[in-house]
Amino acid sequence: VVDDGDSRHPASVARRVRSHDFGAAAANRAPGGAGPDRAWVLRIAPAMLALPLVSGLIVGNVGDVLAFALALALFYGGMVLVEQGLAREADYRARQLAKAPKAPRKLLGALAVAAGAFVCSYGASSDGLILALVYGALAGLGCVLAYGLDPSRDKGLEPELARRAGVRTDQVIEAITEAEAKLGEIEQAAASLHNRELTDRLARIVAKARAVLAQIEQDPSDLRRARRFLVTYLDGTRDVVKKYTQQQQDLADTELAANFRHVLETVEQVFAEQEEVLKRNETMDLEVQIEVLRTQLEREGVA
Amino acid sequence: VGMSPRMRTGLGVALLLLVLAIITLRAWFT
Repeated sequence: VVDDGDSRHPASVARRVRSHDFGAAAANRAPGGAGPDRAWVLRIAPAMLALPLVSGLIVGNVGDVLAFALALALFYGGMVLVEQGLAREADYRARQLAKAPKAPRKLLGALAVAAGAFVCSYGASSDGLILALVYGALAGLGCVLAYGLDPSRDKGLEPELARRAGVRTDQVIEAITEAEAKLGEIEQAAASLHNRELTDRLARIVAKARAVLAQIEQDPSDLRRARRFLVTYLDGTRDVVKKYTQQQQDLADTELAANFRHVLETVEQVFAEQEEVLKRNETMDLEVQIEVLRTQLEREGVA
Repeated sequence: VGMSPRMRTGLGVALLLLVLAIITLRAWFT
């Protein structure tokens, strides 16, 4: 019995730590970030085809040139698909809950690469059909080995957790996707702000909101309350920021600009407290905070 | 299949490079 407890405890701690890491990864995820999502071989290697393409142009061999161009286009398309697939996969891995990507992008990318190799071999050299097919198959196989296949299984809530929380996995995913779309809009609007302080503040707000989302992914028991809160605050922030960016030339150093800053200060402060509030399970606090933002938006006249 | 992900990736990359090099060279010299 003691053994059992001893072995179970570290495991559960490890699981919690690991899932926390995933949450943090989700929170730090930047859209379109560089890194492991690049398929470098597919980006660079097909450039080799440029040499015979040029020599084909010099010699004036139209068939070869067309074949090389088509093959290059297919390799390029395959590279784009594989990179999209890698990005989806990274996203999928970073989440606690996720649906498997709908289109198997990495597989489609591998097929495009295989087709590229086939076209190049069959169209531009005197390779027979069989040999061209072999090259195509090998290129596709290499692509699958190098970049793997797409995730195919949905990652859902543990049944026990879902039952206790009284929510379905897709409800959580829907709420989080919705909130993330809004965060994306906020980030986009923030990028066009000319004020460093405000940009930084918005970046902090977005990071904190992502941390809250990661927390909801882990324990969706307060999804309903949290969702109402997120909708109010994210909508509020988004609308205010958008409005401000549209007129920031005229607004600088005016009272309205100061009001805008006040609203963002409130939002940042509330998000900072949010983690605690969600943990405490106190509905009142959330309702109060929702009211606070509403009145402030009205009073400051920024929404 | 009984291969570490790293090895699989390396093998895949090598295979891709090899095939691309072969078809390029064959196309060039024919």
